[in-house]
Amino acid sequence: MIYESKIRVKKLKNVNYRLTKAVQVHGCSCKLPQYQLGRLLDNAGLIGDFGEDVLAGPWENSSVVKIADGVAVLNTLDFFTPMVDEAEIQGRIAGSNVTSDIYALAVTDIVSVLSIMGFPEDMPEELAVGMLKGFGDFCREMGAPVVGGHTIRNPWPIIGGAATGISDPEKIVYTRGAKAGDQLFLTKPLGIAPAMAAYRLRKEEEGKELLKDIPEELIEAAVNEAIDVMITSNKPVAEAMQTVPVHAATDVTGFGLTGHAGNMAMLSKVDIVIDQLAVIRGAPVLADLFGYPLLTGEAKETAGGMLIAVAKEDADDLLDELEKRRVRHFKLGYVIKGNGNVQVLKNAKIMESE
Amino acid sequence: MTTEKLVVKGKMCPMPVAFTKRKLESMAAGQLLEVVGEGELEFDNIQRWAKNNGHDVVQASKSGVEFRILIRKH
Repeated sequence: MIYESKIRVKKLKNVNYRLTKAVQVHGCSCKLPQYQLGRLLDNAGLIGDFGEDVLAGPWENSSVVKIADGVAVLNTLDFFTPMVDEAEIQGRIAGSNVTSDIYALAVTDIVSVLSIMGFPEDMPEELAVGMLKGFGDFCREMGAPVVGGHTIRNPWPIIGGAATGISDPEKIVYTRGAKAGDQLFLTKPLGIAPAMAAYRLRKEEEGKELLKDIPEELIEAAVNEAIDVMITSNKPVAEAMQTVPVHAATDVTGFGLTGHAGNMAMLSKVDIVIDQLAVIRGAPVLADLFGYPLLTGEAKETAGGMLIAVAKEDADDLLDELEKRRVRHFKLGYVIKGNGNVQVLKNAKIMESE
Repeated sequence: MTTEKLVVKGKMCPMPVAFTKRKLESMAAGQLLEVVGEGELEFDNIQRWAKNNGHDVVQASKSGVEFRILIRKH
């Protein structure tokens, strides 16, 4: 199955409310840092022995619980603040992000999704409808029906949901299986944060002044690519991973590339070396302007690509399967023996989209 | 050498870090910059950016939501 991402929606007339201006942090940037999350879960007694039927817990993109022989249930929950002012696109981004946490485990069968939305009293209802519509449309197109949800008043607009998947436990790919000698691939370019910061800043006088030396065409290209990247589903990546013996995978979102790669390295008890970074065109110059650590792999991503570890001898098969589904893919680095470290080489090759 | 001052209150992310960066680029090595802003997020962001880029964070303090960060340019 092929998924196209060129979604554009009409702007709502007479609605001047800007979703991105209603919040201080945007998209996956509102995620707690890993160290703080770990501390919270630890202090709350939520990290421990879950029993043998819990195949994955808080450390994975989705929890996985075996409920019968050959049947596991996957659950995930993901919501965040707006990245864009266009409500339907925002809903789509949230849908992409939620479903991605199931697809990251190479599972494509999402049996249901529940939506979660919050919005302030002064936010026009058309925007709330738009966010829900975009979220619902995206999930439906992925064959993942939205069957319920919960909506509250909240000082910041938020949108997202909880997804439930089902799979044969033997077919699930975890973050924890990378092996020394594996090659690493990423399926979307990096640089969402600087591109979307430019999207917000070019709507402000001070922001325009800050951006004055960057060609408008480059900003436009970066913003458009970033939005397309976010609303492109990772479902075809999951389908490809079902056909090739992939060792480990995770999507790359709020912890940034090195955060998620570090998680993979730690859980797999290996080291990861990154020698190439694929980035959105224009993102490096914007990252430099804003002081974002993009070229060290630390910048936060939202609805990012899949980081996949695969044996060298299976890499070509994986790339063939990705290409069949028109999934972009970039060689990122390799896995070596180690203890959970990630290194981005100082001379790492930077590949900007054309 | 005088201490330069930059106020980034009320500016949306990533302007506080971006303006801090631009201001430091216009200063001489060893010169001090006092950044005055508000919010926990920017308090952390500016300090992290300064340290990651080789500058010294000489002092960082908060009073209510307002913060002051003193940075020595590398």
